[in-house]
Parts: sequence; structure tokens; C-alpha cells
Amino acid sequence: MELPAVPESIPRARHAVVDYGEQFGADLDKLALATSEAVTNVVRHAYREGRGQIRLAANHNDSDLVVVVSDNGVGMSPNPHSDGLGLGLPLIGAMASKVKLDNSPHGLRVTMSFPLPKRLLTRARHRLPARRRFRQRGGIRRPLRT
Amino acid sequence: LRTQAEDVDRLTRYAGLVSTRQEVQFEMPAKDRVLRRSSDSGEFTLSLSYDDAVFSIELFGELDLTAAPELEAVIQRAEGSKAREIVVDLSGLEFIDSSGIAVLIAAARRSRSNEGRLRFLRGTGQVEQVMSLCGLHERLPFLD
Repeated sequence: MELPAVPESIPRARHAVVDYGEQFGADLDKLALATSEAVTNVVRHAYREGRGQIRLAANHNDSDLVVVVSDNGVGMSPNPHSDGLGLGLPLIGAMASKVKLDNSPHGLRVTMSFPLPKRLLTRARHRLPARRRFRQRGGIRRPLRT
Repeated sequence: LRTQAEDVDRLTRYAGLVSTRQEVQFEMPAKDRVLRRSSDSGEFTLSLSYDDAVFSIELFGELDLTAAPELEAVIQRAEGSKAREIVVDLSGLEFIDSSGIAVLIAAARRSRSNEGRLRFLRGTGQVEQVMSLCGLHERLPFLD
């Protein structure tokens, strides 16, 4: 999704990622804080003389949920007008299991990985035996015993 | 001369102007106010009260860059009042990030160099985790 680089986009991006991560059992507090920090960085530092866009993407594989926040701003460069505490990147590093920064004069791309719980993988492994049991019953759905 | 009550009234009116107060949020028990709600929840609100020369600022919802200037302005106005103590209650907050932390640290610095009137009430869940992670339990003046 694309959002304008304004403060109001910070909660929108955070809520979108939390809603996405909830269905995979990700740690929502970590997802929310890391996304908030990454998007805040774009809003505060990326476009110092004008407007710009925030690009936000999220996907998952078997083991991780991956959130990517990118912009077309000035990249990582010292900002003498910043009044921040410099907590943003350290907090991202503490929340995500892996962080990758792709920096250039044409923008910054922050890729953050968050581990997913193993129970989802375990459940996936049990799918085939369940289907086999179903076939063994003659392919007839019977009510579950209570 | 303005009285303390007038100060409170002015602050309350100010907060009413800059924040959309949703009464339903205040009626919800704290355990129900969690981050994992639909995307339209979590709006930052604050509640001001003045009792026995103690100025209380209760925070609710999510404190990030969108809400930080509002909180900064309210704390600064509380500092301009004649209150003996200013208490910022973090227990109703659902979420805080570095922008919110920056406001709290700046307020604590001003308080230390002034009369030390500012106190914080601890948050829960994510807020407490971030405080711990940033080592703020020692740096901020908590009441307990």
C-alpha cells in the first residue's frame, strides 16, 4: 500500500500491519512498534523539502512475517534539524529478528522479519494424515464425538 | 490573576479542542483496551483533572507522532499552572513509540530543572515493555 508521508499515515500503517499479522499469530506488539518506528522515520526524515510517499508491504513464508517500508527520499543522512532521541532504529532492531537497510541517495528501504509461531507449521504437517483418515472412513463426513 | 480552577478549565477546553473524546473508550475496562482491535480503534485521548493541587493527565489509546504534539502542549500548560504536583497516568495507554517516549523524557528533564513536580503512573503491556527496553524506569520519576 502507498501512503502520504504525513503523521496520520503512521497509525494507518501500524494498524494495517497488525491486522495482517494477527491471522498468522505474529507478535503484534513487536510488529506494531517496529512498523511505527520505520514509518515515523520516513515522515520525519525522508522528505525534508516537500511531500512524498511511504510504500508499505507485508508478506510471509513458512517461518517469518516480513514487513518492508520504503521511500524515495534522501536516504540515511544526518539531519541537523531532527529533535528525535535516535531511538527509532534501536527499537526496530530490538523488535525484529532480522533487519535489512538498503540505503541510497534516492531512498531507504527497511526490511524487517518477525518469527511466526511453530504451531502453524505443526498444524500444516497434520493436514495430510487428516485427509487420509477421512478417506479411511470411506470419504463420509461423520459428526465428531463430543 | 487567574485561579487554579481557571487554569484547569482552560486546559480542559484546550484538550477538548484538539482531541476527539469518545466516552465509550473511558467506560471500557482496561483489559479490553488492547492493541489487537480493529483499525479504527486506538485513537489518542486524554483526560484532565485537578484535585487537591494535583494536576492529573490520564492518557488513553495510542501515543505516537500524531498525538505527541498534543500531549506536549498539555504538559507544558500544566507546568504553567500553580499545581503542587503534575501526574501523568500511563496506565490507560495501549501503545507508545519513540515519539511518545521523547515527550515524556523532555517533560521529565524540564521538571528536574524546575521544581520536580512531574510524576508518572506506570503503564501496562506494550507500554511497560518499551519503558523497560529503553531503561526509563530509572530515568523517569514514577510514583511507585
